[in-house]
Amino acid sequence: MPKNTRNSGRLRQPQAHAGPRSDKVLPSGRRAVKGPFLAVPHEARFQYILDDIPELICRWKPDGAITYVNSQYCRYFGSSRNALIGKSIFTLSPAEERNVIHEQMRRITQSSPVSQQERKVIDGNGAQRWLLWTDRGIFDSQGRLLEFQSIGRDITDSRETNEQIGSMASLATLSPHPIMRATRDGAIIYVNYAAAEFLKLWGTAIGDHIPSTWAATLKKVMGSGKTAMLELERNGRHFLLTLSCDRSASSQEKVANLYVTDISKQKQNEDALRRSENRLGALVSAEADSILVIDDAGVIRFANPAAERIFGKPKEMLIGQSFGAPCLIGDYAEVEFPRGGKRIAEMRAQPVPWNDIQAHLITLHDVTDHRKREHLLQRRNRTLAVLTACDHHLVRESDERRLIDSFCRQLVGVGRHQTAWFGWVDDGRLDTSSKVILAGDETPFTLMKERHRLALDENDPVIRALREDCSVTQHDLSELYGLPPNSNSQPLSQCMIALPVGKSPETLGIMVIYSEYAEAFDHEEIELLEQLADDLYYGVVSLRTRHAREKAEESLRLRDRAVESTPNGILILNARRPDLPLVYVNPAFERITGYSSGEVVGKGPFFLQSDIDEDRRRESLHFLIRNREEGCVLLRNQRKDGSQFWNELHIAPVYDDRRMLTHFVAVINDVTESRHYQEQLEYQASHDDLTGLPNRNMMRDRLGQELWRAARNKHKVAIVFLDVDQFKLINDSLGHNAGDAMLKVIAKRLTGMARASDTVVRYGGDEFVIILPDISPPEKVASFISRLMDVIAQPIQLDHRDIRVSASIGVSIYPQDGDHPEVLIKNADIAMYLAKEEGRNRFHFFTEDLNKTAMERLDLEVRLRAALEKQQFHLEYQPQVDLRSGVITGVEALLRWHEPELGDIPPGKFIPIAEETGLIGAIGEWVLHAACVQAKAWTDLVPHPLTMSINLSAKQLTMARFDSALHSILTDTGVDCRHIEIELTESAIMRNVDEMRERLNLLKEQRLKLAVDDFGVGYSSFSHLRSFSFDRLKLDITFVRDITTDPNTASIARTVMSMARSMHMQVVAEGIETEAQLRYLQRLGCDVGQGFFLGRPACAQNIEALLASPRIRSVRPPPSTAARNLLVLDDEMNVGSAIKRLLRHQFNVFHATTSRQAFDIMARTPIQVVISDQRMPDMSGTEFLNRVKELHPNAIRLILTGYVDMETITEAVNKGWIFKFLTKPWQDDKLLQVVTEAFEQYEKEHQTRLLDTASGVSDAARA
Amino acid sequence: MQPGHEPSPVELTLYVQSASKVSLNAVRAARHLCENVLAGRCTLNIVDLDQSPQTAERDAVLATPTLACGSRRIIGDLSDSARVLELLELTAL
Repeated sequence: MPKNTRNSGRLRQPQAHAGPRSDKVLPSGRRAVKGPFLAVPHEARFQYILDDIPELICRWKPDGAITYVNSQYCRYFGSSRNALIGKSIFTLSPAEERNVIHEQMRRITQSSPVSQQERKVIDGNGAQRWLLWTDRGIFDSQGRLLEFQSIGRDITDSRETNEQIGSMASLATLSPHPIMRATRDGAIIYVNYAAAEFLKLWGTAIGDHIPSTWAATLKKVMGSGKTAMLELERNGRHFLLTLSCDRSASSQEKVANLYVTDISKQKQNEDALRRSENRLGALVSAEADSILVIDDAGVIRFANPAAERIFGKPKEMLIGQSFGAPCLIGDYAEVEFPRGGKRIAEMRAQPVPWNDIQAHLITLHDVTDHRKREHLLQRRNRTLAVLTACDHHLVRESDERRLIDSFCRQLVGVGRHQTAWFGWVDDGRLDTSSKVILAGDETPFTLMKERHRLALDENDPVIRALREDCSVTQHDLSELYGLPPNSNSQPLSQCMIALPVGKSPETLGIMVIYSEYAEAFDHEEIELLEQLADDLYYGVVSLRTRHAREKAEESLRLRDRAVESTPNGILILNARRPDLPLVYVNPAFERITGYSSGEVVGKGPFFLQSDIDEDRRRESLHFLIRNREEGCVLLRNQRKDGSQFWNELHIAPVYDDRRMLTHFVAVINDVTESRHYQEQLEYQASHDDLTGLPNRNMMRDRLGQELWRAARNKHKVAIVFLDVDQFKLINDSLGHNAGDAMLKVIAKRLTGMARASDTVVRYGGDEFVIILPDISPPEKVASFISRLMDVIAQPIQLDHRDIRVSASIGVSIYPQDGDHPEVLIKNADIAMYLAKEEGRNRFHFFTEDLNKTAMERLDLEVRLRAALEKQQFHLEYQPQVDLRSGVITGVEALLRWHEPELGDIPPGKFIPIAEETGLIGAIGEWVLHAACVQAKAWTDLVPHPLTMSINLSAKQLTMARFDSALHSILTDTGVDCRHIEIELTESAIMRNVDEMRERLNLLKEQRLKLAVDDFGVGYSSFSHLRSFSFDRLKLDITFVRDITTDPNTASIARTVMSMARSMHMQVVAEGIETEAQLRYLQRLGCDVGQGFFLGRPACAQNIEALLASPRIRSVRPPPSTAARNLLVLDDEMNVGSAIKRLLRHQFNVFHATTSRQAFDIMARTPIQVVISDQRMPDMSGTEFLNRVKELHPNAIRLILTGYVDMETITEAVNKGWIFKFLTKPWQDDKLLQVVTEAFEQYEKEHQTRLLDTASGVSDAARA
Repeated sequence: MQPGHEPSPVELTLYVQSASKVSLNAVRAARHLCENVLAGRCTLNIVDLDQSPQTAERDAVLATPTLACGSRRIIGDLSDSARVLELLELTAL
C-alpha cells in the first residue's frame, strides 16, 4: 500500500515540547539552548527556535540541493551544516524514496503548498528511519516555485506499534472460517473474507440482515447471553453456526459474533455410518447361513431368510416356535432338518442381549454339500487305503487264495463296503464249482445265488462284466433281485460293482463289491477299483510264476544237493575255453583232492595230474576231450598235499540247445582204496618189509637220481656201506626175532641220523647203505660216520638185556670212486670189508689217501677233545715292535698244542677241526682267559702300555655263550680292556659282514681294540673296513715276504698303508724275517712290525726278559750318511770287483751278483745309483731296473751291457726305466763320468723333491 | 437316594432321523444318559422322523437331534450328559 494513500487526508499537528527545558544534554544528544528568547535580536531569535525544536528542518531547491538545515537536522544526520548545505536531499534517503519525494514535489502546488508524507531517511548511524515530513512549497509572487521547506519528525517507533495492531486485526480478517458480527436486530456489521463468501450462499452480505432462519437463535442468544449453535445446510454442505453475545468496543452495545464451521465432512461420515448399519441388516437377511435369535427357553425370536429356507418354513411360522436350547460340544454341534431335503448344518450359539433379555444367536451353517463331498472323499480315501493295504498283501502274501481273501477283507474292513466276494472264472464263465472267497455281509451274495439258481440272467452285472470284459456297476438292486423296496428292515445294498480280474481270455475271476451307499461307485471310485482288480490279477499271476519258479528251483536244489552229497568228485569244465577252466567242483572233489573250490575254480583241470602219471593214461583223457566223447579213464592224480590217489575219471561233454559244446562234466571216483593193494605191491617191491626202509631196488633209482643231480651241480656224493658186526652171532644166539628187532632199532637210529636229503636203505640182511648227497669236503663224512658209529654203539634192549653192537663201514665218494651206482656200491662194499679186516667197528674210505687224511683228522679230533682237559695247550707270545722307536709295544698271543704222542701240532691243523666240532668255544675261552691273565701281569710289570693281541675265531665270536664268557673273563682277570686287542681274520669278517658288525660293535662297547688279521688276502672292501672301526690292520705275511723284490707287492703294501693312515688305523707288518724287509717297511712308514727278525714267539718268561730291555736294537735304522752309495749288479764277480776298484774312491760301491741280493741291499741301504748288467741268469737288467724303478723310484738306474740289443735298450730308455746305458767293455773315464753324472742327476732331483715337499708342506700350511 | 422318596420317572423323547451319523450318536448318547446317568429312572422315546414325518409337524420339531423333556427341549450334541441334564433342569443320581 503506498504511503501517501495510507496517510492521505490525515494531518497530524506536530507536538510541541512540553515541560521545562533544561541545559542538560538530553539523552538524544541535543544541546539545550541557553538564554531567554527576548535577549536576542529578531533574526537570531528565529534562529534559536529553529535550532532548538526537535523536528528536522531543511530547505532545498527543486533539484534537491539543500539550502538550509537546522541544528537538529545536522545532528540527525551526524554531519555539519556546511557539509549538508548544497548536498542533495536525495542522497540522504534510500534510493527507493526518490520517486516518493518526486511525487510529493509534484503534489505541492501554489494552491496547495503544504503536504505531509512519511518518508525514510538514512541517519548518521546508517540506519533507516521513518520520518513524517511536512513539505511546503515556497513560491514567489509570480507563483514560481523557489524552493521547498521540509520539517521532519521521527515516527519510527510509533509506526512499528501501529503496524502490529494492523496485523492482529488481520487475524479475523484472514481466518478461513467465516466470522461475522451482527447487531442485536440482525444487521451484519462485520464480515471477514470467508464470511463474505459464506453469506453469498445465503444471498446476503455485510450491511444486510442475517437470514431469517437464524433470527430466532440470535434473539435467544442476545436474550440469554449464552452461546448457541445452529446447524445449517446449504447446497449439500453442512455448517455449524455458533452465535455468541459480545459487546461492541465502541458503543458498548450488545452485538452478536457469529462463527461458522463447515461440518460437511462430519456429516458425510455420519451418513456412511448410518448406511453401513442398514447394510448390516441386509447382510443378516442375505446371509447364506441361517441366523436365529432364541431366548433362553429356546423359543425363536428372530430368523433370517436363510433360516426360512433351511427350516422350510416362513419366518412367521418360525418366530415363537421352540427350537430348543442349544447343546454344544466345544463350540458347535451338528443338527439335521427333517424338511427341505435332509439338510445338515453346523450349529453355533452365542449369547447376545436381545431387547433386554438374555438370548442366543444361533448360526446354522449348511454343510450338507460339504458333508457329501467329505463323504465322497472319505470313500476315495478308503479305497486308496484299500489299494495301499492290498499292495502290502501283494508283497507279503505267498498264497493266491489268501491274497484274494485279504483283498476282499480289505475292501470290507478298510473300504467299508458291505460285501466283497471273488469268484473264480474258468473259460469266461463263473466257476460255480470252486468256492467263492467272501468278506463282509453274505446277504447280497446269497440273494444273487438264489437268483442264479432260478435262472441265469444275461443282465446280471456279474454276467455282463464277464461278457463285456469290463467293470459293470448297478444301482437299485431291489429291482434286480426282484425285491420290493423297503420290504426288509435289513440294510440292503444300494449298489454293486462287478470287476473282472484279468482280461479275457485270461480272466482269473470276478470281484464283486456291494455298497450300502447309493452313489458309492462313481467314476473315480470305479477307476480305483479297476486298478485294484488289476493289482490282484498281477498279484495272483506273479504268485503263480513265483511258485512255478520255486518249484523249478526246488528241483534244481535237489539236483544240487545230489551233486553235493555224492561221494564222487564232480568237476564241470568250461569247454568254450581251450584251457578248460573249472567252473564247478563239488564238496566230494574238495574232500578227495584237498583243494578247495576257491583254489581251483578258474584253473585248468590238469594240475591234478601227478608227474609220474603215465603218458598213456593222460593221452587217453586228452583223446576223449579232443573228440568230445564220453568215456572213462583211470588216472593217478596228485592231491594238494602231494600225495597221490587213483581215480576213475568219467568224462562227458555237455551241449547247449543249439548243439554247441559248452561244458564237460567229469566224475572222479577215488579208487585209491582199490589201488591200495596194487600200491602195496609196488611199495613192497621198493621197500623192505622189516624196517620199512627203501630196498635195494629203490636205492638204485635214488642213487641214480642223486648222481645225476650231483653231476649237474658238481657236488660230491658219499655212499656209506654199513654192516653190523657179528650179526650172525646175535641171530644164532638170540634168535631171528631178536635179530629182526635189532635191525629195526638200527634202521631207526640210522634214519634218525640222516638229513632229509639223505637216503637210508636196507641193502639186505644186516647191510645198510646211506646215500649222502652234496658233501664237502669229503673229510667231513668222517665226522658223520664217527657219530653214526657212536649211535650204533648205544646199547639195544633185547629180551630185557642190553646188547651192544658195532658196525663196520665203508665209504665211496662220487665222482672220484666211480660214476655209476653199481660201481660206487661195490667200492663202498670193498671199503667196508677193509674196515672189517682191520678189526671191525671202524670205517674205511675206498680211496687210500682220503682214508688216511680222514683217519688222521678223526684221530686229531679225538685227541683235541681231550687236549684242554689234559692241559696240552699253552701260549707263546711274539713281540710287536714300534718300527720308529724299536720299543716292544705289544705281543701277539699264539696258541700252542703239544700232544705228547704227536708232538707240537700247528694251529693251522687243529683250529679248523676245533671250529668244525665246536671245540673252538672252549679252546678260545681258554686262550682268552690265559692271555688276559698274562696281559694283566705284564701291564702291572711294564711301565709303558703293552697290547695283548688275541686271535679270535669268527665261529667263536658268533657262539651264543661268547658274550657272557668274554664278560666274565674280563671281569675275573681284571685286565684293562684297552690293552687287549682282538684279532679277526679278514676272511672271517667278510663271511657275514652284518652279523660281524654287530658282534664287533659289542666288543667295541667293551672298549676292546680290534685288528684285522691277514689283511690283503680276504678281498675286503675298504668301505666295509671303514664301517667296522678297526684300530689296527695286520698286513699279511705274503706281502711282507716279497716286499723288497716284487714291485706289485710293494705297491699294494704302500697303498694299504696310505689307506690305513687315512682311516686312522695303525699298520702291523707280520712276518718280517730280514733286515731288508724291515728297512723297506720302515721306509714306507709302517707303524709296527712283527716277525722272526724282530723276535720269535716265546714263552712268557723269555718275553719278560725281553721286556726288561724294551728296545730292539736292530730296529734302529743305521745312521743316515751323506755317502754316495752305488750298487753294481753283475753276476760276474770280476766285473763287480773291477768297477768297485775303479770307483771306490769316489763312491761307496756295493756289489750284488743276484737280483735278490741287489734288492736286499737296496732295501737295507739307501742307494742313489744302481748299475745293472743286462744279461743275468735270473732276470734281464732292464727288467731288474724296471722293478727298481717301482721299488726305489728315486734311484738313478744305469745299464751295463756287453752287446747292443738296441731295441730293448731304447725301449727301456724311452719308458724311463734307465737313465743311461754303458757298454762292455767300458772305458774307465767314461764310466766314471756317467756314474758321476748319475749322482749329480740324483742330487738334483733330490733337491727338487725336498723343495716340493717343503712347498707342499707350506702349501698345506697355507691351506 | 433316600428311601421312600421315589421320584417319578423322567420321560424323554429323542427326535432323530435314521441312518445318519449325528442321529446314531444322539441315540447312543441318550441311551447312555438314561441307562447310566439316570440309572433307568427314565423312559426314552426315540422318534425317527424319517419313519413318521408327520410327527415332526405335530411336535413342531424343527431340527434333529432334539431331546424333549416335558416342555423343555434341547438340540445339538447330547454326548455331554452333565450339560444335557443342566439344560433339561434334571439332576443326576
